[in-house]
Order: sequence, then C-alpha cells, then structure tokens
Amino acid sequence: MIWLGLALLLLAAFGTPFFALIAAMAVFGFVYAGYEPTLLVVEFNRIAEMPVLVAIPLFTLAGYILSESGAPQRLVRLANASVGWMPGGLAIVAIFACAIFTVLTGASGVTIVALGAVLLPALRHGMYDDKFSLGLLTTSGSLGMLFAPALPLIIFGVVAQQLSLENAPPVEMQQLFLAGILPGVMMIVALSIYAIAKAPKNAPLQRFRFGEFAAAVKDSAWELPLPILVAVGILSGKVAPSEIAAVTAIYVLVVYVLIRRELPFRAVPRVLRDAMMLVGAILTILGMSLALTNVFIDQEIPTKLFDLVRTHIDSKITFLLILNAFLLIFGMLLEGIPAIVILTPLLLPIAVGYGIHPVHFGIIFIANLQIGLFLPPVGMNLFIASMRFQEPITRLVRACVPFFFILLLCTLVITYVPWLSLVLLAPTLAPSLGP
Amino acid sequence: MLKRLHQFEDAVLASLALLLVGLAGLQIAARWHVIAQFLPDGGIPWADSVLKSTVLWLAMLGALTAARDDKHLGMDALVHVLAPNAKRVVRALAFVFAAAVSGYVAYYGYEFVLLEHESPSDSNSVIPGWIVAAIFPIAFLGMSLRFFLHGYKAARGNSELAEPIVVASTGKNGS
Repeated sequence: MIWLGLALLLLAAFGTPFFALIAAMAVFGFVYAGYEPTLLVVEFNRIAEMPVLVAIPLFTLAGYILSESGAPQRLVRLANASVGWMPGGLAIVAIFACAIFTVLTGASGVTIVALGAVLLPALRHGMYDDKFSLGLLTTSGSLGMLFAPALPLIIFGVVAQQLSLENAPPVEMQQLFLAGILPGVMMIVALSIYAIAKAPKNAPLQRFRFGEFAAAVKDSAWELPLPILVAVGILSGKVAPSEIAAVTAIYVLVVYVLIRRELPFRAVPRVLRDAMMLVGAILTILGMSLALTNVFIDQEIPTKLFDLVRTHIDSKITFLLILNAFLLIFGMLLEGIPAIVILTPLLLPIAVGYGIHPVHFGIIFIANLQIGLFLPPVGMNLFIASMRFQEPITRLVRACVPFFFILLLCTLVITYVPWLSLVLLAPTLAPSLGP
Repeated sequence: MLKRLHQFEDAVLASLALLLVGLAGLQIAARWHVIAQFLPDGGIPWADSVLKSTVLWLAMLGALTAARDDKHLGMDALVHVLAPNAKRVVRALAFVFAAAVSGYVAYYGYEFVLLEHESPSDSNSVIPGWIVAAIFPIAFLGMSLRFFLHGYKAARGNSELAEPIVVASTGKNGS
C-alpha cells in the first residue's frame, strides 16, 4: 500500500495527468474492497446527473470569449476614469479590474494574460515602482476567486454536496455565494490600502474628468450589464447558477460575435474548442474523483483520518492553523481546482468534526488556494506571469512577498473569524455547530 | 489525413458547445415563459436529459482533444527543471501510465455500455442510455492511443512541454 502511494506520488511529480492518478487510486480501492472496476465508470457517469454542472462549460466559454474581446481594455478604461484620480488610484484600478475579470472568467491565469498587457504599461507610465507593479499584477491574477460565480466556488459546492456529512448542515450553492462576499471584499480593501501607501509620491495626480468618465461608461455600455446581471441573478437566489451561466454565455456570444464583432466568425470554433479542452480537463478530474470519494466513504477513510488527527490535535485553533499550512502547500502543488476536487472529500469531514461550518471551510479553502496559486516555487500564476511579462520567476517571487503577507493575514482573519463568512447567510442557517 | 481528423474533431467540439448554449437558452426561455405560447405545457420535456448528455459528451470529447494537445492538468514544475535525458524518461513514463489507465477505463467503459444496453438506468431518457455511455469507451480509447503516442515521442526526445492551458489557449502569450 505504501509502495503504491509512493509510486503514484512519483508519477504525479513526473507530470502524469491528475485524472489518471485519481482513476488509478479509485480502481485500486474498488478492487481492494472487492467491487467491480466498472463501478469507476458508473460513478464517473454521475457527473451528468448534477444540474449545476451545465454551468461549468457555459461560464468557461463566456470567459474565453471575454478574454479575446476588447472588454478587458474597456474595463480598465472605465475603472481608471472612475478612481484613477485617487492616490494609488491606478493600482486600485488594477485590483478591481483583475477581481471582476477573474469572477467572470472563472479560471484564474486568464486574468494575467488578458489584463496584464494593458495594466503593466499603464502602471509603469503612472510611475509606479516596477517591482510593486509586477507583484500586484501577479497577485491579482487570482483575486476574485471568492466571488460568485467564480468556478472554484461552484466546484467546491458540487464536491461538498456529494458528501453526506453528519452533524452538519447541507452546503447550498447560494450560501457559498453569499459567504464569499465579505472575505473577498476584505482582501480587495487590504490590497487597496497597501496600494495607496505605495503610490508614487512625485507622480502628478490625474484629475477626475467627467467627460472621460461619461465616454468610458458609454464605451463599456455592453459590458456593464454583465456583472450586474450575474450579481443580481445570484444574490436574488431565485435563479439557478446554470441559468445565469446560460444567459451569460448567450449574451457574450451575441455581443462580441454578432454586435461588436470583436471576435471574427473564423475565430469562434478555435475559442470554443480551447474552452472545451479546459472543461474536459476539469470534468475528467471531477468525474474520477467522484469515484474516489466513494472509495473513501466506503472504506471510512475520512473517519479514520479524523480519529488519527484527533489523537494528535485536540484544539480547533491548532487544527485550523495546520489546515491553512496544508492547504497553502497543496493549493500550490495542485493548481486550484484539482486541489478542491481531491482534498475536499478528505478534509471537509475532519473540519466538520472540529465544529467548522462546511460553508466556512469552503471559504477558508478557496482563500488559501488563491495564495497557493502564486506561492513559490511552483505556483501556476508565477509561470504564467513570467511568460506574460517576460520577467524571470525569481524577480516575480521577490515582488510578490509583501502581497503574500497581506493576503496571508486576510486568510488568517477569514479562518479565525467565522462571522465574516457566515454573517450574510440566512439567520436560520447561521452557525450552530458545537465544538 | 490526420489533419482532417483533427479539423473534424475541432468542428464537432465547437458544434457541441454551441448546441449546449442553444439548449440551455431554450430551456430558460421555456422556464421563464418567454416562448411559452409556442411550447406544449410544462416546457420541453426532453431538453433536460439531452442537456445532461451534451455536457457529458462535451466533457469527454474535450478531454480527448486535450489529450491530443497535451493540455491535461498535471504538475509539470519538476519536469521543467530536469536535464534533457531525465526529462525524456520521466515524460515517457508519465504518458505511458496515463495511456494504460485510459485503456483500462475504456475497457470498463465498454462493459458499462453493455450494462446500460441490458438494463437502462434511466428508462425515461429520450436518447438511450447506452448511446450516451458509448462516449466512454470511444473517448478513453482515443485518449489512450494519444497518450501512448505522446509517450513514444517523448522517449525519442522530440516532444516539447505544452504551455499552461490558459496561456496557450488565449493565443496571446509572449507577445
């Protein structure tokens, strides 16, 4: 058993696709427990049964089209016209634009590619320190993951709903969406305060010009309804995520292909194909992990793991601290969504055992992943930013240090102040879990 | 020949994605009573099951194409820093393992199709379950072949690491 684990770890380090590793583990589990391996496919087939799953291809599609359109540039122009006059205004523009864009495109990494090219020259032109600008943009590439309908939140919800947790309320998508708001806002505010502090002192301040503001609003007339539509749809609680996703995808296709014509007809099949490749890569991991989760539950692995952890750690505070360290490292190694899919079935039951609300756990998880994405040495966004900005990774790592500590502090606050995540949930669903 | 196949594959994938958008839109229109007067009472009864099958097919065909372009998610940080010869061995091993697992899943996917053919799990579905399930052996067998080819190329030393999926796909990297 240990040898098998070591072999799989080695294969993982060699770059073997995650889905194959998870499938191998699941098959081994089924055979070991005396079940037919066909069960793997039976379980995989269940991905078709999840209503929220339709949202994943639709949001991904919308994100890919948005990133190829002129929307990123217009978003930056509008943000600049609105808050560019403040000290640190340009940096705040970058933070807001990145957060909104990551929400709409779901997968982070796209943000750095789509917005980096606009924002880095703008920040340089605004006389911001180069190191600060690089750090800010690399960090902001994962900002916004806590806001609905970013994919990590949806995927966490899907996975958590598969687990039948004892002594814990069921996880509902709507609750997750509400829970992410305050923690996400806190991260944005913290980074904005730092940006104001680091604003170039000698740079001439830009004046607020109403004409430019009005022009920027007019220019983004097609983009502005989108975040409003998504936010209202989600917060009302009356519209399913898959329906919001469908409306978003249709809107984006119609606006950028037919009305604004920023995406030529020729390019549409390529963009659709690329988006669906990412969907295929994510859903194969999700499907295989449904099977693996079943093995875990059948073998009572989460319970055994909890008992083991419990013998060594008896305080909730210590557990949370270790959980944070663990999630940071695995968030870095497993690059976001795979980490959610693989680790949630193991860790969520343990966290619930320590009296942590499952929705709060989800927010802690995603906050850590957000940092893990640019954590050295192998955080995915470091590589993407390095390619995008043509800068060595070592320089980006140094540039990210202050941002890392700011977001780490935020994550600790999110972890130890459950109120922040749970206050917006309906009062009846508020935390009533005993320790 | 191979290029034609790839073009065909891309076209199928793009069409399925558009079909998904269309179906999802139709379903909303029905649920929100936008076009209710044109539809029988209760909306479109078949839309839901067709939508689900479309997502499954999209996911599997997307995975098949991702195997072609080496876009499956995995850790490649270590592989980046290895010496060329070590990289060859390591990459070949990873691909061959992925090929073996995919082949295994394809075989049991075939068993699953037979199972669905004998006793359908959902008898109300418009499209017979075994036809929907047929994508499993097809896609996983295709993935197995592709991973094997990648492994062969990697062993011979003429295979480059693919770029991260998001960068490569937006086509704007390094500009």
